[in-house]
Amino acid sequence: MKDIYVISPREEQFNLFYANFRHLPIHFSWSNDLGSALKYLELEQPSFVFLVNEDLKILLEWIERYQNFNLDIPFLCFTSFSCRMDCNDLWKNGAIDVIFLPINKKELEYILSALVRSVEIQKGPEIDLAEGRLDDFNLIHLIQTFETGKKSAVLVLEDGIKKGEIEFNNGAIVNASYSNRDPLEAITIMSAWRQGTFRARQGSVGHKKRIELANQQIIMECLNYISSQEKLLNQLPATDEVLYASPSLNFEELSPRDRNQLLAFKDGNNLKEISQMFTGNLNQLLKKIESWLDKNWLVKREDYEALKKKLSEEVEVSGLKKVMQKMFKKDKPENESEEFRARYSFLDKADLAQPVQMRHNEFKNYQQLKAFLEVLEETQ
Amino acid sequence: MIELLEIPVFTTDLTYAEKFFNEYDLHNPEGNNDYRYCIMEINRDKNVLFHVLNLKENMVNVRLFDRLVPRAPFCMILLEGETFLVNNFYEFYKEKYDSALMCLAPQPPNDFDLTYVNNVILAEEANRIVPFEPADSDRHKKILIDVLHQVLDKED
Repeated sequence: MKDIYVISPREEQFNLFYANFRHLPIHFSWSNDLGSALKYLELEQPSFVFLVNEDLKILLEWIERYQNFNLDIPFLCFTSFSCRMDCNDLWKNGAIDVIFLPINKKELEYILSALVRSVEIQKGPEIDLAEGRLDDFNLIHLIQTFETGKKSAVLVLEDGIKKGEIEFNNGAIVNASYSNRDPLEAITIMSAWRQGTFRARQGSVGHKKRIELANQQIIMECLNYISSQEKLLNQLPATDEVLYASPSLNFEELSPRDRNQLLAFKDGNNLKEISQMFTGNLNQLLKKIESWLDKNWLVKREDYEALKKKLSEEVEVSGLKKVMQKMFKKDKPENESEEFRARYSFLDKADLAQPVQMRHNEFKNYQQLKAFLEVLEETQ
Repeated sequence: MIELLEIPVFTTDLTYAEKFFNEYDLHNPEGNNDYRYCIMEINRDKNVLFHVLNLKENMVNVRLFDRLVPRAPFCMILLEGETFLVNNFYEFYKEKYDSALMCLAPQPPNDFDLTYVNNVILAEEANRIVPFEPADSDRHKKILIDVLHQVLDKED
């Protein structure tokens, strides 16, 4: 966590940072007056000071007063875009950067992230507390160890392409992140990892508490998740048995999520490979696989080959039909008529590319909306 | 006959929605935990019916979305609570519906991270962000006027 002290006459200017960049590991403090800020800066020793003022003259006065205090804290200047031609004095007086407002939020985020990184580089690498393999210590062991030792640290877990983090503050879990999952789900998913590595590093704990549960409750959730995963795996074929998506399955009729997951089985795949590749909640996927096996959407190798043979026989038979149809069919005109195009325009590629279950908006009664708007404006 | 304008309103948290609609009674039909509705009377023959829906994509909720979203002129979403819940919901929403989504954002300071909203939701031309003042007692009407203007301007 890095501290940045913002000195700006108006609170809205401070909110530009405070409201928009709370997800960055930065703690922002604010003062609207340089005089009172200088008293605190010596004690607080932030990583950076932001001097924000639209008036270039006042900003230069601030810099002069700030330099007289010999604080040795780097400062950045934020001023209005109209001052960009006269800002040379800001650089000359020691500003490490001059930023003109208004600024694109993404650009400002990039600048802030680069600042935080630059401090980290200056301070050298963070201290690693521990590292090891998840085969030896699973996540539950690690949570218990951190809790007993009352550690404040970030625990990074990696299993192939999967990577997640858990933040501890005095031994209590305060936050976790993994693949856009909510914090508790992230921990439960990672608790089932039985291979991969872990690394605990000290010093970059984000203090934003996002988990309200105590460690013991989290461990109970993890144990439930693991036991239901084991139960599901026992009901399914062995993890190294290859399963295939049924050759008669029409992928276009499936929902986008099911289609993507079932396509992984198109040329055969086993549960071990799938669980290594899958980054989401494995239990949900295993339940789906169970139902797909019941519906015969997923089949074992011998069934797959039998089905494939049966289908190819059907295709051969229908091939004869096709030849007959071709012989007796009228020639298609070379240029399709306007009428034909109009009738089949719904078959445009763009339409076919849309997901099967898309629900288009059917609302057309804009007169009603206008009437509502008029009445609303009258009653205001 | 009373003319009704039906608008689905998505929320991560029904207790927040209750605060948002505090001037109106939020009805809870048959103890459904994910659905409320409230009626805003504009005049004697024009009412707005807000369907307040928890954005969790469970089977019952999705059935409700399927019935309400395609027939509504637009949907609204309250930007409050966990940012990732809204982000995940939009990933689902854009796959399934093309109704315009109006993002109701309380004026800062607010915890909600708008990066995804700005970069992904608003990238869709029909979607809009509608800032509002939480303490304003007339906010519902102001929001509706703002939203209706945006929808009708786009249609023209």
